[in-house]
Amino acid sequence: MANMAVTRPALPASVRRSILWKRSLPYLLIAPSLLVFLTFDLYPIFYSLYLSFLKWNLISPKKTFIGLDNYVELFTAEEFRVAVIHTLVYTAGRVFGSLSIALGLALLLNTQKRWASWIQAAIFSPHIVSMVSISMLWLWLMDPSYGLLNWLLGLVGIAPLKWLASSNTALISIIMVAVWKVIGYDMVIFIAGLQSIENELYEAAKIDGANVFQRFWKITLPMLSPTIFFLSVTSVITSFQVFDVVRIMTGGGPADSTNVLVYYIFQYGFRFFKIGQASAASTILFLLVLTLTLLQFKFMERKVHYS
Amino acid sequence: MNRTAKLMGGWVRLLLGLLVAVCFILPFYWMAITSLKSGDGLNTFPPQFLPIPITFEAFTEASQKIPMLRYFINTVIVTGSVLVLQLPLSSAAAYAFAHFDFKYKKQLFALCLMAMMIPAQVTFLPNFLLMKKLGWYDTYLALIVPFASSAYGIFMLRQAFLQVPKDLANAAELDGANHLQVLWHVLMPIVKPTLTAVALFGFVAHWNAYFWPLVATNSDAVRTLPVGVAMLRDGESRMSWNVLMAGNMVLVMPVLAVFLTFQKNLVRSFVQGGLK
Repeated sequence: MANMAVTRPALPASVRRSILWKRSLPYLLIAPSLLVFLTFDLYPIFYSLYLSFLKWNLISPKKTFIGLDNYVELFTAEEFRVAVIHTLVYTAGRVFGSLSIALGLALLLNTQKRWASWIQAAIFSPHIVSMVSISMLWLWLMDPSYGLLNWLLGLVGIAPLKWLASSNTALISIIMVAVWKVIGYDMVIFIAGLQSIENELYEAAKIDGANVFQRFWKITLPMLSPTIFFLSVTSVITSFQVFDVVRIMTGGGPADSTNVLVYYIFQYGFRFFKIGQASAASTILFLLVLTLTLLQFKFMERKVHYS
Repeated sequence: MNRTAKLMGGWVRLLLGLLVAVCFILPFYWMAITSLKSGDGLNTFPPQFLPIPITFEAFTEASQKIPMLRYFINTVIVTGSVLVLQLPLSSAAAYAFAHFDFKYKKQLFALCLMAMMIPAQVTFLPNFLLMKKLGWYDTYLALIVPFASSAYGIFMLRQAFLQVPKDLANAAELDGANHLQVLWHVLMPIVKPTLTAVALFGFVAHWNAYFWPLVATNSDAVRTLPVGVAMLRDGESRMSWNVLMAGNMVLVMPVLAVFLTFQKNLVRSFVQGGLK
């Protein structure tokens, strides 16, 4: 009995090698990707956290550990507070503006007609164009003296606006551009959502005498709630990260009226060389995004419209 | 009566739709004709909706101001290399997650998903420092290696692999094919639509990328088009609008060409990425 283990025949080397190969193959297949993610996505998060406890100017070899001072400074700094408020205003405008108009367009264009698919493509097209080009194109359209927008306003008797040149209208102008760019994507997602609603529901409601608005409120909207939820959360997450459009259209101005969180981080990192403070702001951005992502996962698991 | 109402409704729909379409096509049209105008033709009142006479001087001027061709080539090299690395590496990982059982599989997949959730806007400072340390700052490597694999690609391709019946792969294995042969000859052809979608998505994302290339480059030798074109507006001498629009035409045209060719696939790739 005791020598059972000893008498177990040894596997030939070739078989052993083949088993080892089979066992390690999945790890080998994943390894390169994982290496990339660990190095350039996950490790930087921790490194950033570490940097946020330092006082460091990027160039000097001297790094001083100052604990939570950077965070304290952030929360007392007027400029940071303003950047956060602008980010929230941008997010609210961008998400609400795009989702409501996109839903309207989805209802309008949710037909099998050929022309509808062409119009959908036209509306979608800004989504695949670089934000650089979109920003510069709208800078031109919104030019206070020679821009097409002011000319069009003039046709209907509205006085020319200053758009990005005034601190009163700059942020709302940026929101308009961002909405214009993303609306096609939101619309396409809404159309996919609309098409998954079963027609029988509408037929039954019609037989019961429900009118168009009742059908919208009682069927379409509740059935779309998972889509609305998904789009809201992902849009909020991407809105928090807004940078390109601000950097190109206004550079945060005029008078800081379009300074947003990521632009603030960028400025503190590469213009004022306050790495610690920039990293502290990054950590806050990360925590915001993380919370929203977890929220999304939690709700995606149970279907929203049943809860 | 009901029928007329329906017919009317159809026309109203079409009309509204066309009105909306104009709001999206007119700006691009304006970009195109501005780039074909001469400097004096810009500030006319009322604005000219046809570029008469057509001139390419804005394009010439733009390429004198910035090394447009160099930027274009850089962008092609970077986008191309990213795709060449990203597609096989993501496919390999996706295949492992879909068709093998191994220890820590769940945790490792969660790690990939986490990578997808972490925005570049949060990690650009530490990554900038990392590039400096590696000596990759202001080289192609900085623009390519961090994107050598795509979590989004893994996610999508895994989904596609899971939908392939297991018997198919098993049958091929019984015939003596090894795992990699099965992957290459049996599975890849089946998931080709997903692969195309991932490739298109990657192309658009990296062709247009502005933020990271802005952070990671500092010379014309590696700078990509979005960063370079945006610089047309930076300098002390502000370029006139026809030159700016000409630069942007060079940036936009390739993406629009791909969009028109692969319209259905492209839209689907964005929708699937969003819904699953």
